[in-house]
Amino acid sequence: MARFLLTRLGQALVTLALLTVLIFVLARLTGDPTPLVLPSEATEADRAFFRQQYGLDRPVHEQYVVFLRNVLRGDFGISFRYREPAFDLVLAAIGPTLQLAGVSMLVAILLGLPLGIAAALRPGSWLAATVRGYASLGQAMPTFWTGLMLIFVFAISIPVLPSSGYGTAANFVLPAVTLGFYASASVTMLTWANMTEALRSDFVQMERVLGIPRRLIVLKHALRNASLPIVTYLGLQFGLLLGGAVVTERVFAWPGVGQMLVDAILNRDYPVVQAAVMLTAVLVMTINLVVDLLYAVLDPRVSRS
Amino acid sequence: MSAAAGERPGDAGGLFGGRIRAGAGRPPLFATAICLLLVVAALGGGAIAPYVPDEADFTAILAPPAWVEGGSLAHPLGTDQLGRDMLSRLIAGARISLLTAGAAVLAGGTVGVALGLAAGYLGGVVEAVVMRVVDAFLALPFILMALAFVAALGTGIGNIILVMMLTNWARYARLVRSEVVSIKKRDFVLLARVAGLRPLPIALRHILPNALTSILVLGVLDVGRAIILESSLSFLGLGIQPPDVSWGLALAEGRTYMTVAWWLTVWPGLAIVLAVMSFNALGEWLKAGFDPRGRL
Amino acid sequence: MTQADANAASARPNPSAPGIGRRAALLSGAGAAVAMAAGAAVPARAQARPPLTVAIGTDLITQDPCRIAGGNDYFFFANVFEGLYGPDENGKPAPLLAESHTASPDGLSYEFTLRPNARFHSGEPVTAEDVRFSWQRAVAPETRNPRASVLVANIADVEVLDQRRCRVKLKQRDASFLDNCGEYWYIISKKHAEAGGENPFDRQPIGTGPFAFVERRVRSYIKLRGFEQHWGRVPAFGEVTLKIIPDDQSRVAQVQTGESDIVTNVPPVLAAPLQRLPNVQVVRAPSFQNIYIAINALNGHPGLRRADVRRALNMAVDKAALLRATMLGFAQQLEQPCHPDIFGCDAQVTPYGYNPDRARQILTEAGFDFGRPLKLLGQGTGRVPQARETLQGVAAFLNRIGIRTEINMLDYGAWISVYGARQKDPSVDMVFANFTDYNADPSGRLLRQVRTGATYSWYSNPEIDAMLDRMNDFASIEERRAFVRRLFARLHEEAPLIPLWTVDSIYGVGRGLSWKPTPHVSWPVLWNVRRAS
Repeated sequence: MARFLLTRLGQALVTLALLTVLIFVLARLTGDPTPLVLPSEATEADRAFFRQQYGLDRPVHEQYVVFLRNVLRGDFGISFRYREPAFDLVLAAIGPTLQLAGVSMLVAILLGLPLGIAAALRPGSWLAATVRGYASLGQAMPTFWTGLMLIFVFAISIPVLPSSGYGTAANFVLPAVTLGFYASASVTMLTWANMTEALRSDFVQMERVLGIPRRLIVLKHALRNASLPIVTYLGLQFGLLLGGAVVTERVFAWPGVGQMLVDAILNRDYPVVQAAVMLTAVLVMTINLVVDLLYAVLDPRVSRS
Repeated sequence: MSAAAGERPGDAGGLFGGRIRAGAGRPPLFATAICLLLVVAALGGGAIAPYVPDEADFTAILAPPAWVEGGSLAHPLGTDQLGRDMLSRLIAGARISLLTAGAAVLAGGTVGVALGLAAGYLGGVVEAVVMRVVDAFLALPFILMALAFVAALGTGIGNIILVMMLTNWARYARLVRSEVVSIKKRDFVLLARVAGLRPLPIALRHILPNALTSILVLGVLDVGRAIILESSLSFLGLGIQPPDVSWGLALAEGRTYMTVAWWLTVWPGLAIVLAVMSFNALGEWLKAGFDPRGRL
Repeated sequence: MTQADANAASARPNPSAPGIGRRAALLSGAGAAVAMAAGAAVPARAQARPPLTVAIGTDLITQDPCRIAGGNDYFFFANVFEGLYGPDENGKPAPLLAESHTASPDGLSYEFTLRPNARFHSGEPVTAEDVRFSWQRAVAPETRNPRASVLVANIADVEVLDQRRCRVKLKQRDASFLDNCGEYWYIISKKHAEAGGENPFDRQPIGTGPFAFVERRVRSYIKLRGFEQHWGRVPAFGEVTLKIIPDDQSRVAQVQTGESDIVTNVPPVLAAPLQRLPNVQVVRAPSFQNIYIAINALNGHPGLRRADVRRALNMAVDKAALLRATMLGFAQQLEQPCHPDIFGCDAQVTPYGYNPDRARQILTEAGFDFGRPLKLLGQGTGRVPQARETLQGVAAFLNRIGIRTEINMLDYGAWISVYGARQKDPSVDMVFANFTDYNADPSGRLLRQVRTGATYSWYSNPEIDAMLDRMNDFASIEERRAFVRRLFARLHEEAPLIPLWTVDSIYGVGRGLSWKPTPHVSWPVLWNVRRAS
């Protein structure tokens, strides 16, 4: 077990190191930031000074070494655009993103779990068919379109909810439903599949024979058996939501990391791009790692393979 | 992520988390029909479309659909902000959306399969390196990576396809590697080895065909995903650019008009949903047939 | 922050503490008791004045008036800082911190008298010494003023004559000097700048404008406060919050819901539905933000090097129809490269008019190569309303006369790298472009837009260059006007670009307010916002 843990940690660190290269190169490939931070009146000397100030005039491999050294100290550099530490800017934006992902996750569970269980209990019924339709719709609707349609209905046609922005509970409704609906589709299908399996298991069949009330069987035993893959999947889904929120954040003007990253890319703000991507990636990787470890603990076959 | 990942439901591109086999018996007729229709529209779109999709008509701006007051049969689905026929644009959009999605899946699949095959079969350093790169690519949410790539490489169809390839090859590599690792241990491969065949022929002739069904299923499921990715990029303004038309682009350009002309956002959105649902249904059906163990 | 807190905070400045770095305290204690403002009413107590919330689209790049990065930052500087001269309520140059000036007959020296009641937000009076320092800091190499070349570098000396009088000596005659004083030479406090360490304005941008800086949260908001001791433009509002909301729809929704009193940069498409709401008025003001198509007359499609071809292209585009379709009428159509209110751009020229047949005929006669498509570069994600639609519309008109087009839309950053590249890309034939004149003087833009080798110039003509070099070398305004008119007439013939329109600044304003936005400045100047009576 300890060896498995160490191997996974080691692999994660190697992956992280590769990521730094990937991010660093990607950011630099996006182009020259000078026309975006300096006015058109600026002279060539001004531009050269800017590049020198941020070390952009040095060979790329040297820049990378400096970048890596600073990152290890937690320093992601100063934003070209906002002249504040990039890491602080990203940190300020991660709160809204985590909140949105969390609330969306909750929506996904509240929608997906009951639907999946209901469908598993009545295979072949119209209810199961409806749930199937719901899930495939959820998978197929791009979040930006869901969001726009929700805005159209609930903020423009019947103005009951704010179309965008951040701050109040009402602001959460539309973006969280948008993301939650999307995530609920896979939660539904997963719950359905695992519940079906659990209901078929000898254990549950036996309980049925023993005459234990159906409700109790479902809630207490079948669900418990089905919950391990569901819970681990939710963990992964949370990671996906963190990154997947980019478009939703854009649609609802949500001040999160996704928005910040898109802006930073458009502004050629390398330090912010690097900090935002690194932070998201580390979060996602940590979640994946924890999920993997959980799986290994609960299912010993994994760590041996 | 190791072999464990392949067993985890809902991972590695299994959009529905695997193991659902309901309706595996008969093909989803409606979805297949839609897919075929889209392919026809993509191939012969120019002949069907009533108008040239990017021809502006400044006398017919924002004409509503035929059945809405003020609409006419000349533009059954209405016109956009430059007076272009929505129906013709949707048909033209099918072409671009399918082309980019198809090409991206094909290219990503090829690269991923090649690397996955190499990693799985050769093992050792190659495997370690490839799999860590795969992990790095998978740790980044694909839309973020796509955004950075687009900003770096620029927009345009060719670049969008390249970007989509770069963002999806890793999943194929991971799938193929895990397939290969399991196939490698089977008797016929060991036999081929004993018979003195060299690695490349073994990989191509004996291992690849056995992994092909999984790859195919992942590929079909990926088309829907690719359509959504392309439309999301276009929606953010970093995807397909005019005068090409994609559904995502049409949606993005129509967005500001939502309060005055709903049809600019509703039609392209419906087209995306219908297309993705159909490809997903087809993929699910294939998966149920070819992959009863639900490893995808 | 209460008055007492503000005084306390400013009494013990803490320049090194990063936590309160962005928080600048105002000094308005002692002096407030004395009514300074000459024409203004006795300032009411700050607490009594209502707050104002304005939703804007972009955040600042810098707070330092010597490091302004471009037009997007002026929503801040135009409200917090002032020059000796600047735009009045009608957008015409008028004395601001100066009360009056005299110019020497040779145009090489200007003598300014400062207003007796002009004060910095710190409460200190503005002196001739501050004017001298403002020049010195603006040109000092360590300041790294990227726009020094426009005005301040041409100042030979600022002589302090007495507390309130100074003489500005120029190296060369510069007819654009007074016009540019508003945007290129803000007056700053010597005391503040010298005491403030390396980047005094990053922490506390103290100016003289009608609004004083209070606090800023990057990407979120900027808080200002009506400056009661202003020499004349005392705002009716106490705390002013500039909320940064980049998304158009969300920003516009702010005024619909009443969360903001004013929203800026309303896209034309959203203006019409806004107009129908009972609680919102749509206010528009002409701006100097020009939209045009630059033609690559240097190294693109060879046909474009001919002036007759470029004129024909001007005839091929139905500007009026395009303006109606894309801008929904929220723009002023242009026949010349600039708005007619730009100095000298009022020359009588014959508009090309929309004449596709004639255009086609000229092109055929000129032997234009129709086989080679024109490559159009556009802004995919831009800062200009309807940029994508406009370029697609232009392409559609070109297609109608048989020219094939290939559009390439880039995001703003990539677009500006190509448009402003030193070596122009030969694979680009036309560029959708926008250029904002900061004031009514044409020299800044012409020097960058058409002079050989300039940042945004895709055109080269020694004759035009010679005229441009002489353009500012006039002491007599009337002589200069005649000359500049000739220059614009020549440019009309040369047609290095296809002028389309200047966009209107569109604001959504709550019904409870009355406001006439300053025309021709392309940013909101807020001191004259009043409550509707």
